[in-house]
Parts: sequence; C-alpha cells; structure tokens
Amino acid sequence: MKLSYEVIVKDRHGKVIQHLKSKSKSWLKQWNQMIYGGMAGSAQMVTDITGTDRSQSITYDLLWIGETAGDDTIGVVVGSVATAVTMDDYKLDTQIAHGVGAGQLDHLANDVIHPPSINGPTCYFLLTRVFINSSGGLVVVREIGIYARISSAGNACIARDALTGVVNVPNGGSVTVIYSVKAVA
Amino acid sequence: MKITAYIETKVRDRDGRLLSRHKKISRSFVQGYNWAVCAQFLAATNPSPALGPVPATSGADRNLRTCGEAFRIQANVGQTDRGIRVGTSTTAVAIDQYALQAPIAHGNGAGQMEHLATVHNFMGVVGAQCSFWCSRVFVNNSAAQIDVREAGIYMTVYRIPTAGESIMAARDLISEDVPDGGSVTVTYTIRIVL
Repeated sequence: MKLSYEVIVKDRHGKVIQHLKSKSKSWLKQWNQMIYGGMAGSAQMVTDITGTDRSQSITYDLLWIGETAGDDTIGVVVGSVATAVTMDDYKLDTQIAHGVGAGQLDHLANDVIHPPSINGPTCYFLLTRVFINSSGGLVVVREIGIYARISSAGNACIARDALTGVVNVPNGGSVTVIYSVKAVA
Repeated sequence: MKITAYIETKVRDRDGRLLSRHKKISRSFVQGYNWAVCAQFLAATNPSPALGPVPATSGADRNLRTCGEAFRIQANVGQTDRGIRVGTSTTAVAIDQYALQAPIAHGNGAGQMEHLATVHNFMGVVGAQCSFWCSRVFVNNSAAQIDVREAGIYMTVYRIPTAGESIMAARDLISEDVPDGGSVTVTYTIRIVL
C-alpha cells in the first residue's frame, strides 16, 4: 500500500498560488493495528486522538473517515507544526481547528472519490478535503493527516505528514488536501 | 514511513524436517485490497456512486458496501473463501487479478492440500518498525508431490445489499515443491517502517 498527497492553495479569486505534491511516508501504528484487528477478527486497543485507548470496531464503521462539514475530529486534517513523524504519533502536533476565528480554517466535508481506478500497475482512489480561510488573517499549514473511526467511541490518527514546505493560506483563500491511496502490483 | 509486505515460505517433510525456506518482499497487493479499504473509508450501506463493479474471487462482478467483517482473513480448518491460499500457476501478478490463477482445493485427493486454520500475531512496535503477521499451513496428503507456485490472500467484503463475498487482496509467485506427507507454511508480514 502506498500513499501520496497533493496540497493546493488558492487565493480568494480561485487562482492557484501554491501546489505541493509528494509521496507520503505517513502510515502510523494505529493503521496497522486496525487492519490487523479486522484481518484477525480480534479487536485491538487503539489510542485515539485524545490519547485514550479504545477497543476497535471490527465491523461496519471501522476506518470510516466521515463526511460532515465542520467536523475536525475525523477525515483529512491540517496543522501548523511540522515536528518529525514518529511511529507512536496519535494526533497532529498542533491541529488547526474548524472555524472562522484567528488561526482557524473552515472545514468542508471529506470526500472519498470512488470507485477506485486502475492506471498501469496501480489501483487508486482519492480522499480529499477543502479548508477555507475566513479568519481575517494568514493561516500557515505545516502538517497534514487522516483521522479515521476506531469505533463509535473515538477516532485515530492513521496517517500524518510533516510538509517539507510552508503552506501559506491567505485570508479568503483555501487549501485543498488530496490523498491518493494506492495498491501497486 | 512505508508499508512493506513480506512473504515467507517453509516446506517440511512428513517428519517435520525443514526442506526449504524462502523469504522475499511481497509486491502483491492487488486491486481487491484497495476496494476493501475504500469501502471502509466510505462506511456506506449503499455508496453513491456505486462502489463497483469489482470481480469477486468467483469472477462475478459485485458492488460493495461497508463490511460487517472488515478486512477479515481469519479462516478455520478447511475454509477456502478467505485466508491465505496457494495455487499452482506461474502466471505473473497483475493489479486486476481477482483470484489465484490455479488455486489448490482443500482435501486429500490428487492435487489437493489440507488447509489448516490461519494464525495471526500483532508484534507491535519494535524499534522503528510496527508489524503483524498471518500464517497458514497446507498439508499434502494427496499421495504425490505438489508443486506450489502462487500464494495469495482472500478477504471478506460485503456486497449490496448485505452478503459476504470473497475478494483477493494479494497474490505472489512462489516456488515450493511439497512432498507427499509434507507441508508448506506461508506467512505474510505487514510492516510499517520509519
């Protein structure tokens, strides 16, 4: 399984002003735990984004990434501090909250663009989210990640990337994060 | 960090003596695994647009939904609709393959092998790695040597409206000659490396 991402910044007129594209190196322990638990049919204790250990679902809602706009506890998330990724990370370092206050970004709905497509030896689908800056000032993004459902009790950080560049989102502009989830034969 | 899969095979004779052992990086995830991940990310009972069609291991095209046994590969003795499977084909792996090309059936008849239950272990974080493995033993009581040339993982998914279905998540080429009375053990290790 491979993961890559794109980060696209637009100004208030919709003009693209920054575009990052990179391989992600970000799968975390929680991802392997939950895949293992599902495969083995043996629920694992998984640390959620608050630092609390939760018994995982092994049924319908396992790994749900949510769709609701305004929910910054699930799906694609962004943050402002690019500390190095470690295996035991269970949340972004400094997450940017949903909202229109200073330093906040308006979180639109997550979108899983499906069904998966095949291109050469790769089968992929996209996970994307748009964040609008209506804060009145510049918002700087330096990390991105994915939060997914452990169970109805909590969500886990399954991937996190510290961006190699600084992403400046101007007031009135937006940042779009696109993850590509790939199986490669 | 990256996810790396390894496949290890061990062949033993009827006395349990190790005859061969091979380990290599698996390059084997095929489309079925990605469809299963996508189904869980969506967590929808009736995704729109449809999550399909994708061929099940039977070859029948299915539309998928979120699964009540998400990613399940745990298999009991003799169970062949999920778990690690082996076969005899040497056809190269392709992303759109949906089944082993020549799967070996469970049994003691000619060309068959007894499928034992899968075994699973989460090894957790060791140094800069986080790993788990799943393993299965196949016993040859067919009265003749069986040449095993492929291995794969069959996984449970759910199709619309609500029914269990088998999908192939991975396939690898291997080369193990299993004598009568002997066995082959296939182990997949999934590892995140920092």
